[in-house]
Amino acid sequence: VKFDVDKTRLPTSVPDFMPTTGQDIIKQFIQQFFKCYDESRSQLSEAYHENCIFTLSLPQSPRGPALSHYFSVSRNLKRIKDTAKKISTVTTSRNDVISLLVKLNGTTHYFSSFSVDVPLITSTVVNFIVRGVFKENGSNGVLRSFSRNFFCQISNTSLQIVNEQYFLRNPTSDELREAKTYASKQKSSSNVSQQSE
Amino acid sequence: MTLDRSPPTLKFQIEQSIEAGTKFCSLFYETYDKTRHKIGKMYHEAAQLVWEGNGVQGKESIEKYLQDLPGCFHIVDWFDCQPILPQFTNGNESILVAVGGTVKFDNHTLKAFVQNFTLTNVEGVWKIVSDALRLRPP
Repeated sequence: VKFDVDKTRLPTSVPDFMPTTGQDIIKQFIQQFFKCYDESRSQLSEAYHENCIFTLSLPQSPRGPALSHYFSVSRNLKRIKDTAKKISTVTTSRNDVISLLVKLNGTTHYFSSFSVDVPLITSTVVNFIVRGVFKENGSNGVLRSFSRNFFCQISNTSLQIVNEQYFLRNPTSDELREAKTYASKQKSSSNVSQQSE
Repeated sequence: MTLDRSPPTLKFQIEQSIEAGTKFCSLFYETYDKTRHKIGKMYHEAAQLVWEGNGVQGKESIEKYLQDLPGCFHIVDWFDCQPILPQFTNGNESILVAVGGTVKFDNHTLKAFVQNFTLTNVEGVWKIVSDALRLRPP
């Protein structure tokens, strides 16, 4: 007599979930978006639809360096009880999204830390989540981890963000350790691109 | 704020997404933790699950996949909901729900999770169209 009680294993983690069709356009968008986000954030208008919707969320009790810089715009529906604030923390136009983003700390994203899931893609829309680590610019250079959920309209061969949910937190000890290798890779790759110019 | 010059329908859509998303969050994790054999009902026939990068397509396959996971207990720390404007979804009512917190699977250490859902309204009932989950050490 056998009993099937061995339900203890968890599936093995896979770094990315990407469709074969549409993969290039998504990867290209991510490269361009985060490069522009780091270097000239005010120029991101074209990446967002004029009627886009944006929210930023933080963990309820973050450990590590304070995330207070982001508090004023953060939206956590578990914590907010006031109905008006539940609505006012949603940003609902391209201009307002860009003005919010330019107020946030300057960043340097580590591209080699990125991983991407694409759970939904049709001929007209695509949903993907980008996770990774970035360094805040400035003297202290605090590291943060992020998960950004993008819902985009596909027009011809380009993507435009219709919805974005941006989640920000402090890195785990593993992520902090790995970030050192990302930082050196980033440096060597930017040297290469400067040499080739 | 922004909403004052936006059409009233957008405010209504945001309110609707908050109501649906808030109910969804408590129902989903309660069902997941306590009566997982019923969780398949929350997924659309053609739903896509991405569990730690593993893709599972269709309601029946997702139901089986989730049933085979160890027992667990979730604590939700934060969540966020947004409407997707109907102009982008052929007029369908859809919302995005993002959730984060911790989960303890039987015989495993505590993990932090972030889960992103797309839900669509099918004849008055909200169904999960996509579900993408990521785990990490807390």
